Amino acid sequence: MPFWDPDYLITSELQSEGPHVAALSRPGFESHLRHREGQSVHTMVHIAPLIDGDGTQFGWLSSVLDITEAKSLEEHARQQEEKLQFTARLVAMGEMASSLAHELNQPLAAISSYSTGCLNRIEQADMQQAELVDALQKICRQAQRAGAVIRRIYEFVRRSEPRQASCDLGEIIIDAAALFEGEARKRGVDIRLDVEAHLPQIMGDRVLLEQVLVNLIKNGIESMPGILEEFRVLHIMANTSGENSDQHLRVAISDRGSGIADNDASKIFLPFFTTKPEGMGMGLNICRSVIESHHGRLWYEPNPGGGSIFKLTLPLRAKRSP
Amino acid sequence: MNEPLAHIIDDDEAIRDALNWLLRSRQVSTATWASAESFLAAWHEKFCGCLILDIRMPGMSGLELFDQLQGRRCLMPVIFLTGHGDIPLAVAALKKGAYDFLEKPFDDNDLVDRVIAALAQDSARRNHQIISADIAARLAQLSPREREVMEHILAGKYNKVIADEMRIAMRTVEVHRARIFEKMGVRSAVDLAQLLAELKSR
Ligand SMILES: Nc1ncnc2c1ncn2[C@@H]1O[C@H](COP(=O)(O)OP(=O)(O)OP(=O)(O)O)[C@@H](O)[C@H]1O
Ligand SMILES: [Mg+2]
Repeated sequence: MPFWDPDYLITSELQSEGPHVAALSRPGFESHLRHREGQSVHTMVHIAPLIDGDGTQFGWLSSVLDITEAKSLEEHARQQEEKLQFTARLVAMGEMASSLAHELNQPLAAISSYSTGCLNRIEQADMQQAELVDALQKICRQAQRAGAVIRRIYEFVRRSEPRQASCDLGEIIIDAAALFEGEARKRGVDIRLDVEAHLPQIMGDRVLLEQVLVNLIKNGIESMPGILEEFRVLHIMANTSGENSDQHLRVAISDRGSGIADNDASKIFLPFFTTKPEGMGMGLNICRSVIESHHGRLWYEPNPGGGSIFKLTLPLRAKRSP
Repeated sequence: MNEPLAHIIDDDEAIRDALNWLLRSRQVSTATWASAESFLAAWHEKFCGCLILDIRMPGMSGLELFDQLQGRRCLMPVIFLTGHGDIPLAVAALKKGAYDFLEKPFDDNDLVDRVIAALAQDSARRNHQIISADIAARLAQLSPREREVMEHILAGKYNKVIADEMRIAMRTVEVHRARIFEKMGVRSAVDLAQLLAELKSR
């Protein structure tokens, strides 16, 4: 058994090509080695040339340090940080939604009262034109006030454009699925990943994209409690399709759960539509806004074998935002 | 400020002005207040009518004002206007004696209907107060002896029985009865009983 971790073979080989370069220019490099018991060990490798009294190099000295634990702590911290960021953004969105709702309600309520008052007065004999003009002008002013609130929403949305960075969708899928390992085992659901190797990187917001996968996997798992255990399979497929400028990533998450009634299919992406007693009904709505903000598409198809399929595509070369 | 008014208390100027216009469009007299604090500072016992109160306001909230007014024995009916999330608050206020609440967005003429009903309730309450005060004043004119005779009359007893029980002449009872009716402004024992029942109601 080679001590290079085969998953990292390419990089390991590259690095062994020129140890003298590495030794002179860098204090050390990280490498994945394989323990004799088979598990992968994340190491820090230091190499130094051995030089004799005449200044001639006669060999290499290298030290290999196991940094697996430090790495996993680092990874854990990174995940925590991402979760926090995401929660903070959701909280900000929720707060904004409720304060905007209040701010929009005020002018709308005023408009409603002014108009009802006008209707009441129009039926009365002593009505004066001037008083109606006055009330109608106030209605206009309140309509403009409501418009200003809406403009603020646009500004907020613009400010919260996803952060663009190059990310690996395959990795995102694996991470999202890993979050459900325990939950899936508890519910007897088998999560099967079928992710094409070497998916091209896409530009996007990793945290938001992971949240999309999390919401879709969660919905899939939640749809299967009434199903025979042998059918409780959640299948996640990811691959590339299309050519050149039209190339995009495709993901399909299919379950064999309850499926979606024809009546409901048109409503599932609406905010607050839910058929679950504890549901908020925001999951799919958030998914769709995230995918659309990445210039992609997300839609539902019934699973021919029973259950649902949620499909999404993301363009590899994002069209320029308007 | 003894005229009955619908007091509109809301921190939003447009809402205040719009409710003012709405209520006046149906001939309801109004007063507007930009904060709970300003209303409370101006309030005195002679205020009458009803309150239309936004449950949520910066500074003193509608609920706090309601508590304060109850502490001062202000009996004007209060109609709360509430947002979507505030129903439990409003229900709690109802239990403490608020007149009604409306969830925004509400039907505007429905609000006016309720305001008119609240004003009617307040006016009935004040009438009752006036009447009670009047009956109390009449009762105060009765002598101790007359009060005693009145108790017997209210118990439905005949003059003869009263005379026996009080060990006085039947003629004396008749005189007392006439004075009592005169002082109380009634013509019969039944009228008298009704008048006093009115005092006890509420
Ligand atoms: N995989 C699925 N199988 C069956 N029904 C689904 C599936 N995904 C979504 N639905 C239906 O669509 C509705 C909306 O889903 P959505 O994720 O937006 O909200 P939710 O899951 O009800 O609540 P939450 O906000 O907690 O996610 C669900 O209540 C359910 O009826
Ligand atoms: Mg969901």
